[in-house]
Amino acid sequence: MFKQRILATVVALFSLFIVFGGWFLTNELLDRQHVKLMNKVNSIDFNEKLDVEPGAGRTKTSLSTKEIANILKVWTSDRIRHYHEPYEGQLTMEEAINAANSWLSYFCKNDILPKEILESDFTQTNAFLYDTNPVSQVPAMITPAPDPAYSFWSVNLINREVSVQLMINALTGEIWMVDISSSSLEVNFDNIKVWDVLEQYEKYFGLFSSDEPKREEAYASKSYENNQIGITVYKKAGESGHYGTIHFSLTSTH
Amino acid sequence: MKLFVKIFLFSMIVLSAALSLSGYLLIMSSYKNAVVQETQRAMDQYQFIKFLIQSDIINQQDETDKNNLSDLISASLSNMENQNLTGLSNGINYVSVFSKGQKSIYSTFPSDLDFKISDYDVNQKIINKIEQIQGRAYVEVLGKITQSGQAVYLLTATDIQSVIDQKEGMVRNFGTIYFITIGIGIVLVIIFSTLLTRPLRKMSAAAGRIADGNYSERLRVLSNDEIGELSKMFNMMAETIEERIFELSNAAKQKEDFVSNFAHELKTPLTSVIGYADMIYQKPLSREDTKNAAAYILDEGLRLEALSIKLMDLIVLNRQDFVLEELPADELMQSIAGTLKPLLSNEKIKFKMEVVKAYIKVDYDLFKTLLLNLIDNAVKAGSTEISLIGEIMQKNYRVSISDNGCGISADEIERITEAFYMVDKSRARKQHGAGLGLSLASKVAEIHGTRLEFISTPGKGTVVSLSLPLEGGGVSV
Repeated sequence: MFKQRILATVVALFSLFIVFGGWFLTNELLDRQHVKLMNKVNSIDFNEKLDVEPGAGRTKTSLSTKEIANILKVWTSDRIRHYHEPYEGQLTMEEAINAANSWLSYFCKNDILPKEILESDFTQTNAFLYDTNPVSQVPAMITPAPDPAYSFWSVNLINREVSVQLMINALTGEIWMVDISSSSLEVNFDNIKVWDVLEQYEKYFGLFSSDEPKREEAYASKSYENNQIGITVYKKAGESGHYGTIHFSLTSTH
Repeated sequence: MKLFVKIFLFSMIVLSAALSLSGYLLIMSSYKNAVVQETQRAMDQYQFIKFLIQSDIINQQDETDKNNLSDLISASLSNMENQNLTGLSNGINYVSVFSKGQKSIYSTFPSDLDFKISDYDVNQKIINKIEQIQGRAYVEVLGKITQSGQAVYLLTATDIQSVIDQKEGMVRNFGTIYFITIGIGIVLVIIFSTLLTRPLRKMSAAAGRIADGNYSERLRVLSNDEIGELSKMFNMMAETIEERIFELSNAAKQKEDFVSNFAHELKTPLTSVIGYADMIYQKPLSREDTKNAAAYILDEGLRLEALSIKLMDLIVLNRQDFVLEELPADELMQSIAGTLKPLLSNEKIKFKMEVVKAYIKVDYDLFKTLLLNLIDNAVKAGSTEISLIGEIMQKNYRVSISDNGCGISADEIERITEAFYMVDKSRARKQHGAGLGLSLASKVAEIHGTRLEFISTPGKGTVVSLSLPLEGGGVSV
């Protein structure tokens, strides 16, 4: 009988040891993992581009229509975008901003867009490079984008009244989307013919199509290369009754 | 150690290990994923600020003739702070820019930075790690901004304390769940162990009662599982034990009766022999008396001799393996009839024999002994007519001995094959009977794979028969 009691006591104590031991062990392991995470130093490599010498030209890279269509599909999808440093072959920030300014200058000086946009004093100019490829685990070691053509620079030229946003393909440097909004009465798009804008934009890309375009007062679109890609231009009126927004972009029609 | 205790301990170990492991894996997995996401968020924030700074530098360079990167950045960040573009003033993020010599150009960090740039290689790399700032956890991201051949270092800090707090909360919740689950587990294990071991305890108690002599003890079989199977087997075992005990008891009682009867049968003739011998020895007797006494002594002596011979036969029958051989039944019966002729003629008994020819498998001497004993009994029963019939019935050869003797009553028939049992003791003793003849015959029948069947009517006669399988020799020609 006495032996039974001793055994019962030993068993009870051992059970308590197992129960609390399990709890403490779990806590201890979690704490160790926590400390390990806290002390870990991660690094991500990238290929830093030296400053571009003024006047130095970039090697122009062109994409096929199919490639353009695929990239546009990804850009307009819900895929998460991440900032990143420029990959090999991509535009630097300076090149992207210069490309944006050059393009805008050209379109304004040739009366495709209101000259008043150029005359606006942009208080803010910023550019962000986005990657639309899925991100692997962070920190990741050298992981150049599977395709650098899928990144884009978003260049924004902003002041109190006018905002210009351009999406530039990071590999080719072409402007694939433009969004201009104005709350200024002096800068409006009432006299801008969307069809003219489309034609000029068409020329910018060197596209040609015999397809019949869709044309309305504030909307125009046309497809190219057997309906693989298209150009869409539209303008919207603001509260003032003037057309305060214009948007034109390359689109994937496939 | 009792089974209950073993089950309890094992269950506790398994439950505790399973809960601990699953809790650890779940919390760790969730925590790591959260840290990864927050680190990505911090990286995005770093990159965002870097792009803002770089954009502004490019802008300033275009608009002014400033060339010093430190001045450009300082102006850029101040400008951004004024416009609240980086969330610098809300205490969530910290930004610091410093030169190669770790001279601060701009900083919103609450205290001096306690690390050295020289400890990290940020050439074409962005470094991130988790640091504690004023008791809160931040992901610090460090990289280099290069412009116009000049370089400065950008360090951002993004608050991830919520992730740590969430993890702590998960650990606390896990602790609560762990102990509650263990508590419930203990109760369930105790209940389960008790239920599982209860049938075994009942079985143990039943085994104890059987050991105490209650051989009719049985278990109730309530399930079809292993315990139910065990209960069934236990009952079978108990039944077998009970039967064996019963057989052994009967055998022991028979042996006791046998010895008791044997002693009694031995004592009776010896008493007479001793008595008459003593009389002859002690007293001078007349010739007539001496002859009478001698006659009694001879009589009892013959009876003892018959008894010893039959006892010897019984013992031999019990101990030997007999090899049976195919013999023609009709010839066997003829031989027996020849042996009995003098006896039957003396007793003036009419003997009829009708025997069909056939082959049976017998031991010649034993079978002869059997038939002789049966016919001898018929003679002793006072028969005037005795028949010996051998006939084929279906696939068997049936041997019947019928007489018109005194017959046997129904309540005696069951006992007549017991050793030393005599229906009419006085008549048997008169004829030097020892009560072993039918016992012998029954034993011989058993050796031949058959049994004696008795049909008798008191006062009219008895028919004793036995059946033997017909053998391949078929009907002899």
